[in-house]
Amino acid sequence: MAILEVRNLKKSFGDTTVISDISFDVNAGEVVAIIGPSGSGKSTLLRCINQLEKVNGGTIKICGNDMIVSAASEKVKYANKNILRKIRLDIGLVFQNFNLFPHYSVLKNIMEPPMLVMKKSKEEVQQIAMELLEKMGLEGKENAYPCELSGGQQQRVSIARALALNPQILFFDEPTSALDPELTGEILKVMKQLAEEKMTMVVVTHEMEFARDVADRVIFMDGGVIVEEGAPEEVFGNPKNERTKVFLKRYTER
Amino acid sequence: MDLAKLLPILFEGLEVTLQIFALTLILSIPLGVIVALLKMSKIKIVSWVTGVYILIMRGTPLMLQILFIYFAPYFLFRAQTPDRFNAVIIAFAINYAAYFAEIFRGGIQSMPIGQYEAADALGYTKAQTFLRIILPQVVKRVLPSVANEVITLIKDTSLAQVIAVTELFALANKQATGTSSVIPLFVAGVFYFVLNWILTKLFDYIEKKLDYYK
Repeated sequence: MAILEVRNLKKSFGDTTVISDISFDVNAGEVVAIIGPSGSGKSTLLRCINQLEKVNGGTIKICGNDMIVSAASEKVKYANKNILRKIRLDIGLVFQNFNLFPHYSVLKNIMEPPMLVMKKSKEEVQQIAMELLEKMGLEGKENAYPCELSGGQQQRVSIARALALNPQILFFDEPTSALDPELTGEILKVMKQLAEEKMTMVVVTHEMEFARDVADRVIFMDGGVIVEEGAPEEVFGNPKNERTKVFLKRYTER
Repeated sequence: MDLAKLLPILFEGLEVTLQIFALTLILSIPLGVIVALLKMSKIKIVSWVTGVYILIMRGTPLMLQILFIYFAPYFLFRAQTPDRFNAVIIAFAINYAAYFAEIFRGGIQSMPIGQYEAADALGYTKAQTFLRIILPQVVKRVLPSVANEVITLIKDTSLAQVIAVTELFALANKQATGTSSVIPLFVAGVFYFVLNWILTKLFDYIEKKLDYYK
C-alpha cells in the first residue's frame, strides 16, 4: 500500500525552477533514500511534502488523504485546514539542524507536542517519552536541556520527538550533515534500528553507505528531476544514467 | 532644612511617580507586543500605519506628547479636557509601547526560522507556536534592552509635571524653591537612584534565572 504518492510535482522560487516534474511512491514499511548533488531539489521536495513550501503544480497524497485537491491550470488548490492538519500528524520530519526547543528540557521537547496537539494525557505521553528515550540510548537525559547535549544526542532527541506523535511516515532532511563522523554513526544506528522495525522512512542523505546498506530503494535526483531510481544494488552496482555514474564515482573515489 | 518635614512630602510624590511607572509598564508592554506584530503584518497598509505611529512617537518629545494628549481634546474638538493623571498615563503608555514594539520586533525577527518550522511540522497552531515557542525565547533575548527602557521610564516620570501632576520631581522642585535649598532636589535624586538600583538588581536576577539554556 502506498503511504505517499507524489505526482508531477513542480516547485520554483521566482524564475528558478527547483523541481521540474517529480513522481514517486513510498510503500508502507519501505525505506527510501534520496541522493544527489547539492541544489538538486532533494530538500525542497521534502519541504513541499511537509507543507513547509507551497508547490506550484502536481499532487501529493499521504495515507489516502489528498493534500492538493486540484492542480488543474496554473492554480494549485490545497485541501481544507482539517485535512491538512490530519496529514501533518501522519508524517514526521527530522531536520538537519535538529531544531529542538532550547528553552524546554529533553522530556518537555518530546512530551509537549502529543499533549498539546493530540490532547493526550500526561501519564500516557510520559510513558511513551521514557520508552523512546531508552530506545534512543538517552536514559538519564530527560531533565537535560538541548544545549547540554552533543549534536548526536540532540538529533536523537529530535527523532524521539517526531516518533512521539506516532507518525505513519518519517522524513529525514540530511539528518547527519551537521555532525562529525562519530556522531553520524550514532544516528545511522538509530535509523537502521527503525528500518528493521519496518518504520516507513524517506531519507535525504549524503551518506552513501547508509543508502546502500539500509534503504530498500534509492532515488537519485539532479536538476529537479529523478534521474534514476531502483534497488540500491542496481543504482550503486550498475548505474545506467551517465549523471548517476559521475556522481557515484566521486563518492567511491573519496 | 528639616528632613522630618521634607520626607513625607517627597514620599507623597514618590507614590505618584510609582503609579505612573507601574501603570505605564502594565499598559505599554502588552501594547508593545501588539504593535510589534502589527508592524510585521503582511498587510502593507497595517504595517505602514504602524510605522508612522512609531515614527511619530519616537520622533517627537514625550513632553510634547503629554501636552498634546491633555490639550488636544479641547482645542481640536471642544471636548472635555481629560483628567491630568489619565492624560499622563495615556501619553506614557503609547510612547513607551512604540519603543517596546521595536525591541520586541527585533527579538522576534532574530528567532531562527527553524523554530517556526519545527513547531509547524509538529502540528502547533500559529498561536501555540508564538506563545509557547517564540515568545519565551524572545523574552530572554530582549531582556537587556527592556531593562534599559524601564530604567529610563523611572526618570521620565518627572515629565508629568509639565501638566502639573505632582510627582516626585515636581514636589522636590517646589520645596527647593520654597526653602532656597538644593537638598530636596538632592534627596529626590537619591530616590530615583535607589529605585533604579533595585530595578537593576531585579533584572540581573531575572537574567540569571533565564540562563539555564543557551
